[in-house]
Amino acid sequence: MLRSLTTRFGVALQYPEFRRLWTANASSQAASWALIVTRGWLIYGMSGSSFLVGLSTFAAMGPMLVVPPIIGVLADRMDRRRILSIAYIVDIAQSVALMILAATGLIEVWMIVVLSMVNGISRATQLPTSQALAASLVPADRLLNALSLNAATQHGSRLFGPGIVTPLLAIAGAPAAFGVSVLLYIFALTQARSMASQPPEPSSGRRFIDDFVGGLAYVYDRPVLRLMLVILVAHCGLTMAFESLLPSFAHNQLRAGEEGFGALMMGVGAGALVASLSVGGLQTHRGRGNALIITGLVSGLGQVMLGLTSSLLVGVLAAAIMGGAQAAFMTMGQAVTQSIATNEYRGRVASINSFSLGGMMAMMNLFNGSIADTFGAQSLLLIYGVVFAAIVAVTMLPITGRQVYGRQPIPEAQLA
Amino acid sequence: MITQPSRPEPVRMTAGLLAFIAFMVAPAFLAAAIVLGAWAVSDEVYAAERAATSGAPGAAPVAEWKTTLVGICPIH
Repeated sequence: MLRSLTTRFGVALQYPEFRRLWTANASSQAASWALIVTRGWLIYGMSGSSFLVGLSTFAAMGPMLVVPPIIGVLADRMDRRRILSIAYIVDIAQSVALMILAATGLIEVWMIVVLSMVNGISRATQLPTSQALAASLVPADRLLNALSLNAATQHGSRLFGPGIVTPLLAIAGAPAAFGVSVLLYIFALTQARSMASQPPEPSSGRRFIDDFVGGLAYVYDRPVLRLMLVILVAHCGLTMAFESLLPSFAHNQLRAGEEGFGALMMGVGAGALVASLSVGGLQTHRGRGNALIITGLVSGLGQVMLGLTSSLLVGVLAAAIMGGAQAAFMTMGQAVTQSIATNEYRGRVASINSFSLGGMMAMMNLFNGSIADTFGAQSLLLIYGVVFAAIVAVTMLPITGRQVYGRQPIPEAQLA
Repeated sequence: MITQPSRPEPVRMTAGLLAFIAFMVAPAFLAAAIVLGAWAVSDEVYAAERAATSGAPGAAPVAEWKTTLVGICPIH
Protein backbone atom coordinates (compact mmCIF):
# COMPACT_ATOMS: atom_id res chain seq x y z
CA MET A 1 0.00 0.00 0.00
CA LEU A 2 2.69 2.49 1.10
CA ARG A 3 4.92 1.35 -1.76
CA SER A 4 2.19 1.92 -4.35
CA LEU A 5 1.41 5.36 -2.87
CA THR A 6 5.10 6.29 -3.01
CA THR A 7 5.37 5.02 -6.56
CA ARG A 8 2.36 7.05 -7.64
CA PHE A 9 2.83 10.30 -5.71
CA GLY A 10 6.62 10.34 -5.28
CA VAL A 11 7.73 8.79 -8.54
CA ALA A 12 10.13 11.65 -9.37
CA LEU A 13 12.06 10.83 -6.17
CA GLN A 14 13.28 7.67 -7.91
CA TYR A 15 15.71 9.91 -9.81
CA PRO A 16 18.72 10.49 -7.49
CA GLU A 17 19.59 13.93 -8.86
CA PHE A 18 16.04 15.20 -8.39
CA ARG A 19 15.93 13.59 -4.92
CA ARG A 20 18.97 15.69 -3.93
CA LEU A 21 17.41 18.84 -5.36
CA TRP A 22 14.14 18.13 -3.56
CA THR A 23 15.78 17.57 -0.16
CA ALA A 24 17.86 20.74 -0.67
CA ASN A 25 14.66 22.66 -1.47
CA ALA A 26 12.75 21.22 1.48
CA SER A 27 15.58 21.99 3.89
CA SER A 28 16.17 25.55 2.66
CA GLN A 29 12.44 26.36 2.60
CA ALA A 30 12.08 25.18 6.20
CA ALA A 31 15.12 27.30 7.13
CA SER A 32 13.56 30.37 5.47
CA TRP A 33 10.30 30.03 7.39
CA ALA A 34 12.21 29.37 10.60
CA LEU A 35 14.09 32.63 9.96
CA ILE A 36 10.88 34.58 9.28
CA VAL A 37 9.43 33.46 12.63
CA THR A 38 12.66 34.04 14.59
CA ARG A 39 13.31 37.49 13.08
CA GLY A 40 9.71 38.54 13.78
CA TRP A 41 9.87 37.28 17.37
CA LEU A 42 13.19 39.04 17.97
CA ILE A 43 12.18 42.36 16.39
CA TYR A 44 8.89 42.44 18.26
CA GLY A 45 10.70 41.68 21.51
CA MET A 46 13.24 44.47 20.87
CA SER A 47 10.89 47.17 19.55
CA GLY A 48 7.28 46.15 20.31
CA SER A 49 6.50 47.38 16.79
CA SER A 50 4.37 45.34 14.38
CA PHE A 51 5.38 47.79 11.65
CA LEU A 52 9.06 46.84 12.02
CA VAL A 53 8.13 43.13 11.91
CA GLY A 54 6.23 43.86 8.68
CA LEU A 55 9.20 45.84 7.33
CA SER A 56 11.51 42.89 7.95
CA THR A 57 9.10 40.49 6.21
CA PHE A 58 8.73 42.94 3.31
CA ALA A 59 12.53 43.20 3.05
CA ALA A 60 12.63 39.41 2.72
CA MET A 61 9.79 39.25 0.16
CA GLY A 62 10.54 42.45 -1.84
CA PRO A 63 13.46 40.97 -3.83
CA MET A 64 10.96 38.58 -5.47
CA LEU A 65 9.88 41.60 -7.53
CA VAL A 66 13.39 42.50 -8.68
CA VAL A 67 15.77 39.54 -8.64
CA PRO A 68 14.08 36.83 -10.82
CA PRO A 69 14.60 38.55 -14.22
CA ILE A 70 18.34 38.77 -13.51
CA ILE A 71 18.55 35.23 -12.17
CA GLY A 72 16.53 33.84 -15.07
CA VAL A 73 19.15 35.01 -17.56
CA LEU A 74 22.01 33.80 -15.32
CA ALA A 75 20.33 30.39 -14.88
CA ASP A 76 20.41 29.99 -18.69
CA ARG A 77 24.06 31.10 -18.91
CA MET A 78 25.64 29.40 -15.87
CA ASP A 79 25.63 26.00 -14.17
CA ARG A 80 22.32 26.03 -12.24
CA ARG A 81 23.72 23.77 -9.52
CA ARG A 82 26.47 26.33 -8.93
CA ILE A 83 23.94 29.18 -8.65
CA LEU A 84 22.01 27.20 -6.02
CA SER A 85 25.21 26.43 -4.08
CA ILE A 86 26.20 30.11 -4.03
CA ALA A 87 22.71 31.05 -2.80
CA TYR A 88 22.93 28.52 0.04
CA ILE A 89 26.41 29.78 1.02
CA VAL A 90 24.99 33.33 1.22
CA ASP A 91 22.15 32.02 3.40
CA ILE A 92 24.54 30.19 5.71
CA ALA A 93 26.62 33.38 6.08
CA GLN A 94 23.62 35.61 6.92
CA SER A 95 22.18 33.02 9.36
CA VAL A 96 25.57 32.68 11.11
CA ALA A 97 25.79 36.49 11.33
CA LEU A 98 22.31 36.63 12.91
CA MET A 99 23.20 33.84 15.35
CA ILE A 100 26.44 35.54 16.47
CA LEU A 101 24.84 39.01 16.71
CA ALA A 102 21.92 37.62 18.74
CA ALA A 103 24.21 35.57 21.03
CA THR A 104 26.51 38.54 21.75
CA GLY A 105 23.66 41.01 22.29
CA LEU A 106 25.02 43.33 19.57
CA ILE A 107 22.00 42.86 17.34
CA GLU A 108 19.87 45.86 16.31
CA VAL A 109 16.66 46.05 14.30
CA TRP A 110 18.29 47.61 11.21
CA MET A 111 20.78 44.72 11.06
CA ILE A 112 17.93 42.20 11.02
CA VAL A 113 16.14 44.13 8.26
CA VAL A 114 19.31 44.28 6.12
CA LEU A 115 19.99 40.56 6.62
CA SER A 116 16.31 39.85 5.82
CA MET A 117 16.88 41.48 2.45
CA VAL A 118 20.01 39.38 1.87
CA ASN A 119 17.93 36.28 2.67
CA GLY A 120 15.18 37.51 0.35
CA ILE A 121 17.62 37.98 -2.55
CA SER A 122 18.96 34.48 -2.00
CA ARG A 123 15.45 33.01 -1.84
CA ALA A 124 14.40 34.83 -5.00
CA THR A 125 17.46 33.22 -6.62
CA GLN A 126 16.66 29.70 -5.46
CA LEU A 127 13.00 29.46 -6.55
CA PRO A 128 13.32 29.97 -10.35
CA THR A 129 16.71 28.21 -10.48
CA SER A 130 15.41 25.06 -8.80
CA GLN A 131 12.25 25.08 -10.95
CA ALA A 132 14.37 25.24 -14.13
CA LEU A 133 16.76 22.63 -12.72
CA ALA A 134 13.95 20.19 -11.83
CA ALA A 135 12.77 20.18 -15.43
CA SER A 136 16.16 18.97 -16.64
CA LEU A 137 16.53 16.25 -13.98
CA VAL A 138 13.43 14.15 -14.70
CA PRO A 139 11.76 12.93 -17.92
CA ALA A 140 8.93 15.11 -19.28
CA ASP A 141 6.23 12.69 -18.10
CA ARG A 142 7.53 12.95 -14.49
CA LEU A 143 7.76 16.74 -14.48
CA LEU A 144 4.31 17.33 -12.97
CA ASN A 145 5.18 14.93 -10.16
CA ALA A 146 8.53 16.67 -9.58
CA LEU A 147 6.93 20.13 -9.47
CA SER A 148 4.10 18.89 -7.24
CA LEU A 149 6.67 17.55 -4.76
CA ASN A 150 8.47 20.91 -4.84
CA ALA A 151 5.17 22.75 -4.30
CA ALA A 152 4.29 20.44 -1.41
CA THR A 153 7.60 21.27 0.29
CA GLN A 154 6.85 24.98 -0.10
CA HIS A 155 3.53 24.58 1.69
CA GLY A 156 4.79 21.96 4.17
CA SER A 157 7.80 24.06 5.16
CA ARG A 158 5.43 26.78 6.43
CA LEU A 159 4.41 24.27 9.09
CA PHE A 160 7.72 22.46 9.56
CA GLY A 161 10.12 25.44 9.88
CA PRO A 162 8.08 27.42 12.43
CA GLY A 163 7.15 24.12 14.13
CA ILE A 164 10.81 23.45 14.96
CA VAL A 165 11.83 26.93 16.07
CA THR A 166 8.75 28.05 18.01
CA PRO A 167 9.38 25.75 21.02
CA LEU A 168 13.12 26.37 20.69
CA LEU A 169 12.59 30.14 20.95
CA ALA A 170 10.77 29.67 24.25
CA ILE A 171 13.38 27.28 25.65
CA ALA A 172 16.74 28.50 24.31
CA GLY A 173 16.10 31.88 22.65
CA ALA A 174 16.85 33.38 19.25
CA PRO A 175 20.52 32.28 18.86
CA ALA A 176 19.52 28.59 19.05
CA ALA A 177 16.67 29.17 16.58
CA PHE A 178 19.06 30.90 14.14
CA GLY A 179 21.41 27.93 14.69
CA VAL A 180 18.68 25.59 13.39
CA SER A 181 18.48 27.66 10.20
CA VAL A 182 22.27 27.44 9.83
CA LEU A 183 22.11 23.62 10.07
CA LEU A 184 19.23 23.38 7.61
CA TYR A 185 21.06 25.58 5.08
CA ILE A 186 24.28 23.55 5.52
CA PHE A 187 22.30 20.37 4.78
CA ALA A 188 20.78 22.05 1.68
CA LEU A 189 24.29 23.02 0.51
CA THR A 190 25.62 19.47 0.91
CA GLN A 191 22.69 18.14 -1.14
CA ALA A 192 23.21 20.74 -3.88
CA ARG A 193 26.97 20.09 -3.96
CA SER A 194 26.38 16.35 -4.33
CA MET A 195 24.42 16.90 -7.55
CA ALA A 196 26.18 16.48 -10.88
CA SER A 197 27.23 19.69 -12.61
CA GLN A 198 24.63 21.09 -15.03
CA PRO A 199 26.67 22.77 -17.77
CA PRO A 200 24.75 25.56 -19.52
CA GLU A 201 23.96 25.61 -23.22
CA PRO A 202 26.62 27.43 -25.31
CA SER A 203 26.33 31.19 -24.75
CA SER A 204 24.57 33.18 -27.44
CA GLY A 205 27.02 36.03 -26.76
CA ARG A 206 24.13 38.47 -26.50
CA ARG A 207 23.81 41.33 -24.03
CA PHE A 208 22.05 40.67 -20.73
CA ILE A 209 18.98 42.78 -21.58
CA ASP A 210 18.73 41.14 -25.02
CA ASP A 211 18.68 37.73 -23.37
CA PHE A 212 15.94 38.85 -20.97
CA VAL A 213 13.79 40.29 -23.78
CA GLY A 214 14.65 37.20 -25.83
CA GLY A 215 13.08 35.07 -23.07
CA LEU A 216 9.88 37.11 -23.19
CA ALA A 217 9.85 36.93 -27.00
CA TYR A 218 10.35 33.16 -26.79
CA VAL A 219 7.23 32.89 -24.62
CA TYR A 220 5.28 35.31 -26.83
CA ASP A 221 6.08 33.36 -30.02
CA ARG A 222 4.61 30.15 -28.55
CA PRO A 223 0.83 30.59 -28.26
CA VAL A 224 0.28 27.71 -25.81
CA LEU A 225 3.05 28.90 -23.50
CA ARG A 226 1.84 32.50 -23.80
CA LEU A 227 -1.80 31.68 -23.05
CA MET A 228 -0.84 29.45 -20.11
CA LEU A 229 1.25 32.25 -18.58
CA VAL A 230 -1.47 34.86 -19.15
CA ILE A 231 -4.03 32.55 -17.47
CA LEU A 232 -1.61 31.99 -14.55
CA VAL A 233 -1.10 35.75 -14.15
CA ALA A 234 -4.89 36.29 -14.19
CA HIS A 235 -5.24 33.48 -11.65
CA CYS A 236 -2.75 35.15 -9.31
CA GLY A 237 -4.44 38.54 -9.65
CA LEU A 238 -8.03 37.37 -9.27
CA THR A 239 -7.93 34.42 -6.88
CA MET A 240 -4.60 34.38 -5.06
CA ALA A 241 -4.38 37.98 -3.89
CA PHE A 242 -6.89 37.38 -1.11
CA GLU A 243 -4.61 37.91 1.90
CA SER A 244 -5.44 41.60 2.17
CA LEU A 245 -9.19 40.81 1.92
CA LEU A 246 -9.46 38.00 4.47
CA PRO A 247 -8.95 40.03 7.69
CA SER A 248 -11.79 42.37 6.75
CA PHE A 249 -13.93 39.45 5.51
CA ALA A 250 -13.35 37.46 8.74
CA HIS A 251 -14.27 40.51 10.83
CA ASN A 252 -17.28 41.85 8.94
CA GLN A 253 -18.81 38.76 7.30
CA LEU A 254 -17.88 35.93 9.68
CA ARG A 255 -17.79 38.10 12.85
CA ALA A 256 -14.72 36.09 13.86
CA GLY A 257 -11.84 38.60 14.22
CA GLU A 258 -8.19 37.59 14.16
CA GLU A 259 -8.87 33.99 15.18
CA GLY A 260 -11.18 33.70 12.18
CA PHE A 261 -8.50 35.10 9.87
CA GLY A 262 -5.97 32.61 11.26
CA ALA A 263 -8.41 29.71 10.80
CA LEU A 264 -9.11 30.72 7.17
CA MET A 265 -5.38 30.93 6.41
CA MET A 266 -4.82 27.51 7.98
CA GLY A 267 -7.63 26.15 5.79
CA VAL A 268 -5.94 27.60 2.69
CA GLY A 269 -2.56 26.13 3.72
CA ALA A 270 -3.92 22.67 4.53
CA GLY A 271 -5.85 22.50 1.25
CA ALA A 272 -2.77 23.62 -0.68
CA LEU A 273 -0.53 20.99 0.93
CA VAL A 274 -2.94 18.10 0.23
CA ALA A 275 -3.71 19.24 -3.34
CA SER A 276 -0.04 19.80 -4.24
CA LEU A 277 0.75 16.20 -3.34
CA SER A 278 -2.41 14.85 -4.99
CA VAL A 279 -1.81 16.30 -8.47
CA GLY A 280 1.55 14.52 -8.56
CA GLY A 281 -0.41 11.28 -8.90
CA LEU A 282 -1.98 12.30 -12.23
CA GLN A 283 -0.38 10.13 -14.87
CA THR A 284 -2.10 10.75 -18.21
CA HIS A 285 -1.98 13.84 -20.39
CA ARG A 286 -5.77 13.88 -20.65
CA GLY A 287 -6.14 13.46 -16.88
CA ARG A 288 -3.87 16.43 -16.26
CA GLY A 289 -5.84 18.52 -18.73
CA ASN A 290 -9.12 17.62 -17.05
CA ALA A 291 -7.62 18.41 -13.64
CA LEU A 292 -6.37 21.78 -14.93
CA ILE A 293 -9.92 22.69 -16.03
CA ILE A 294 -11.58 21.44 -12.84
CA THR A 295 -9.10 23.10 -10.47
CA GLY A 296 -9.30 26.35 -12.47
CA LEU A 297 -13.08 26.42 -12.17
CA VAL A 298 -13.01 25.37 -8.49
CA SER A 299 -10.37 28.00 -7.73
CA GLY A 300 -12.82 30.70 -8.84
CA LEU A 301 -16.00 29.08 -7.56
CA GLY A 302 -14.41 28.12 -4.21
CA GLN A 303 -13.76 31.82 -3.71
CA VAL A 304 -17.44 32.50 -4.53
CA MET A 305 -18.45 29.85 -1.95
CA LEU A 306 -16.22 31.55 0.62
CA GLY A 307 -17.69 34.95 -0.23
CA LEU A 308 -21.26 33.70 0.23
CA THR A 309 -20.89 32.07 3.65
CA SER A 310 -21.35 33.69 7.02
CA SER A 311 -20.34 30.57 8.98
CA LEU A 312 -16.72 30.22 10.13
CA LEU A 313 -16.80 26.43 9.75
CA VAL A 314 -18.10 26.59 6.16
CA GLY A 315 -15.66 29.45 5.53
CA VAL A 316 -12.68 27.33 6.60
CA LEU A 317 -13.94 24.45 4.42
CA ALA A 318 -14.34 26.82 1.44
CA ALA A 319 -10.88 28.27 2.12
CA ALA A 320 -9.41 24.73 2.09
CA ILE A 321 -11.17 23.92 -1.21
CA MET A 322 -10.07 27.24 -2.69
CA GLY A 323 -6.46 26.90 -1.44
CA GLY A 324 -6.25 23.32 -2.72
CA ALA A 325 -7.59 24.22 -6.16
CA GLN A 326 -5.26 27.24 -6.40
CA ALA A 327 -2.14 25.26 -5.48
CA ALA A 328 -3.02 22.40 -7.85
CA PHE A 329 -3.79 24.81 -10.71
CA MET A 330 -0.51 26.69 -10.22
CA THR A 331 1.55 23.48 -10.03
CA MET A 332 -0.01 22.05 -13.19
CA GLY A 333 0.28 25.39 -15.00
CA GLN A 334 3.98 25.60 -14.16
CA ALA A 335 4.46 22.00 -15.33
CA VAL A 336 2.85 22.96 -18.67
CA THR A 337 5.18 25.96 -19.08
CA GLN A 338 8.34 24.04 -18.12
CA SER A 339 7.45 21.05 -20.32
CA ILE A 340 7.07 23.31 -23.37
CA ALA A 341 10.27 25.34 -22.77
CA THR A 342 13.56 24.04 -24.14
CA ASN A 343 16.47 23.71 -21.73
CA GLU A 344 18.25 26.93 -22.73
CA TYR A 345 15.12 28.98 -21.98
CA ARG A 346 13.93 27.23 -18.81
CA GLY A 347 15.67 29.62 -16.44
CA ARG A 348 14.03 32.63 -18.08
CA VAL A 349 10.62 30.94 -18.33
CA ALA A 350 10.80 30.05 -14.62
CA SER A 351 11.88 33.60 -13.76
CA ILE A 352 9.06 35.14 -15.85
CA ASN A 353 6.73 32.85 -13.89
CA SER A 354 8.08 34.05 -10.52
CA PHE A 355 8.37 37.70 -11.49
CA SER A 356 5.03 38.16 -13.28
CA LEU A 357 2.99 36.02 -10.89
CA GLY A 358 4.60 37.54 -7.78
CA GLY A 359 4.24 41.04 -9.22
CA MET A 360 0.56 40.56 -10.00
CA MET A 361 -0.14 39.13 -6.52
CA ALA A 362 1.71 41.99 -4.83
CA MET A 363 -0.06 44.63 -6.92
CA MET A 364 -3.53 43.14 -6.44
CA ASN A 365 -2.96 42.68 -2.69
CA LEU A 366 -2.07 46.39 -2.45
CA PHE A 367 -5.03 47.33 -4.67
CA ASN A 368 -7.49 45.12 -2.74
CA GLY A 369 -6.23 46.45 0.58
CA SER A 370 -6.97 49.98 -0.56
CA ILE A 371 -10.47 49.37 -1.99
CA ALA A 372 -11.77 46.69 0.42
CA ASP A 373 -13.24 49.30 2.77
CA THR A 374 -15.10 51.00 -0.09
CA PHE A 375 -16.45 48.00 -2.00
CA GLY A 376 -16.42 45.35 0.73
CA ALA A 377 -14.22 42.25 0.86
CA GLN A 378 -17.21 39.98 0.20
CA SER A 379 -18.13 41.72 -3.08
CA LEU A 380 -14.53 41.59 -4.30
CA LEU A 381 -14.20 37.87 -3.50
CA LEU A 382 -17.43 37.14 -5.39
CA ILE A 383 -16.60 39.28 -8.44
CA TYR A 384 -13.02 38.01 -8.80
CA GLY A 385 -14.10 34.38 -8.34
CA VAL A 386 -16.81 34.58 -11.02
CA VAL A 387 -14.52 36.44 -13.43
CA PHE A 388 -11.74 33.84 -13.12
CA ALA A 389 -14.13 30.88 -13.54
CA ALA A 390 -15.44 32.64 -16.68
CA ILE A 391 -11.86 33.08 -17.97
CA VAL A 392 -11.24 29.33 -17.61
CA ALA A 393 -14.52 28.53 -19.40
CA VAL A 394 -13.86 30.96 -22.26
CA THR A 395 -10.21 29.95 -22.79
CA MET A 396 -11.28 26.32 -23.27
CA LEU A 397 -12.98 27.24 -26.56
CA PRO A 398 -10.19 28.28 -29.01
CA ILE A 399 -7.70 25.73 -30.39
CA THR A 400 -4.82 27.18 -28.34
CA GLY A 401 -6.94 26.89 -25.20
CA ARG A 402 -7.78 23.29 -26.02
CA GLN A 403 -4.02 22.63 -26.34
CA VAL A 404 -3.39 24.31 -22.98
CA TYR A 405 -6.02 22.13 -21.28
CA GLY A 406 -4.80 18.90 -22.90
CA ARG A 407 -7.83 18.45 -25.21
CA GLN A 408 -5.55 18.57 -28.28
CA PRO A 409 -1.82 17.82 -28.68
CA ILE A 410 0.59 20.76 -28.65
CA PRO A 411 2.13 21.29 -32.15
CA GLU A 412 5.76 20.16 -32.45
CA ALA A 413 6.79 23.63 -33.68
CA GLN A 414 5.89 25.11 -30.28
CA LEU A 415 8.07 22.59 -28.44
CA ALA A 416 11.30 23.70 -30.15
CA MET B 1 17.22 14.70 -19.64
CA ILE B 2 18.59 17.69 -21.53
CA THR B 3 16.86 18.70 -24.74
CA GLN B 4 18.75 19.96 -27.76
CA PRO B 5 19.27 23.74 -27.88
CA SER B 6 17.35 25.60 -30.54
CA ARG B 7 19.01 28.35 -32.56
CA PRO B 8 18.90 31.88 -31.11
CA GLU B 9 16.20 33.84 -32.85
CA PRO B 10 16.37 37.58 -33.59
CA VAL B 11 13.75 39.46 -31.55
CA ARG B 12 11.31 41.57 -33.59
CA MET B 13 9.68 44.26 -31.45
CA THR B 14 6.06 44.07 -32.63
CA ALA B 15 3.16 45.88 -30.96
CA GLY B 16 1.86 42.52 -29.71
CA LEU B 17 5.19 41.64 -28.09
CA LEU B 18 5.41 45.07 -26.44
CA ALA B 19 1.87 44.70 -25.06
CA PHE B 20 2.73 41.22 -23.76
CA ILE B 21 5.92 42.46 -22.08
CA ALA B 22 3.96 45.33 -20.49
CA PHE B 23 1.33 42.89 -19.18
CA MET B 24 3.93 40.57 -17.66
CA VAL B 25 6.25 43.24 -16.24
CA ALA B 26 4.00 46.15 -15.26
CA PRO B 27 2.37 44.62 -12.14
CA ALA B 28 5.73 44.08 -10.42
CA PHE B 29 6.88 47.62 -11.26
CA LEU B 30 3.56 49.11 -10.14
CA ALA B 31 3.68 47.20 -6.84
CA ALA B 32 7.27 48.31 -6.22
CA ALA B 33 6.42 51.91 -7.18
CA ILE B 34 3.42 52.00 -4.81
CA VAL B 35 5.39 50.68 -1.84
CA LEU B 36 8.52 52.77 -2.48
CA GLY B 37 6.47 55.89 -3.27
CA ALA B 38 4.43 55.52 -0.08
CA TRP B 39 7.63 54.93 1.89
CA ALA B 40 9.27 58.04 0.40
CA VAL B 41 6.44 60.40 1.41
CA SER B 42 5.08 58.67 4.51
CA ASP B 43 7.12 60.66 7.07
CA GLU B 44 5.88 64.00 5.71
CA VAL B 45 2.27 62.83 5.50
CA TYR B 46 2.25 61.43 9.04
CA ALA B 47 3.96 64.59 10.36
CA ALA B 48 1.29 66.73 8.66
CA GLU B 49 -1.40 64.47 10.12
CA ARG B 50 0.04 64.85 13.62
CA ALA B 51 0.18 68.62 13.17
CA ALA B 52 -3.45 68.67 12.04
CA THR B 53 -4.71 66.55 14.93
CA SER B 54 -2.76 68.61 17.47
CA GLY B 55 -4.52 71.74 16.16
CA ALA B 56 -1.36 73.62 15.19
CA PRO B 57 -2.12 76.98 13.50
CA GLY B 58 -2.11 76.85 9.68
CA ALA B 59 -2.20 73.04 9.58
CA ALA B 60 -4.04 71.67 6.55
CA PRO B 61 -6.42 68.68 6.69
CA VAL B 62 -4.50 65.68 5.41
CA ALA B 63 -7.03 62.84 5.22
CA GLU B 64 -7.36 63.21 1.45
CA TRP B 65 -3.58 63.31 0.85
CA LYS B 66 -3.07 60.37 3.11
CA THR B 67 -5.45 58.26 1.07
CA THR B 68 -3.85 59.38 -2.17
CA LEU B 69 -0.22 59.13 -1.13
CA VAL B 70 0.11 56.40 1.46
CA GLY B 71 -3.39 55.00 1.98
CA ILE B 72 -3.14 52.75 -1.06
CA CYS B 73 -0.21 50.90 0.51
CA PRO B 74 -1.47 48.74 3.41
CA ILE B 75 1.99 48.39 4.96
CA HIS B 76 1.96 52.15 5.48
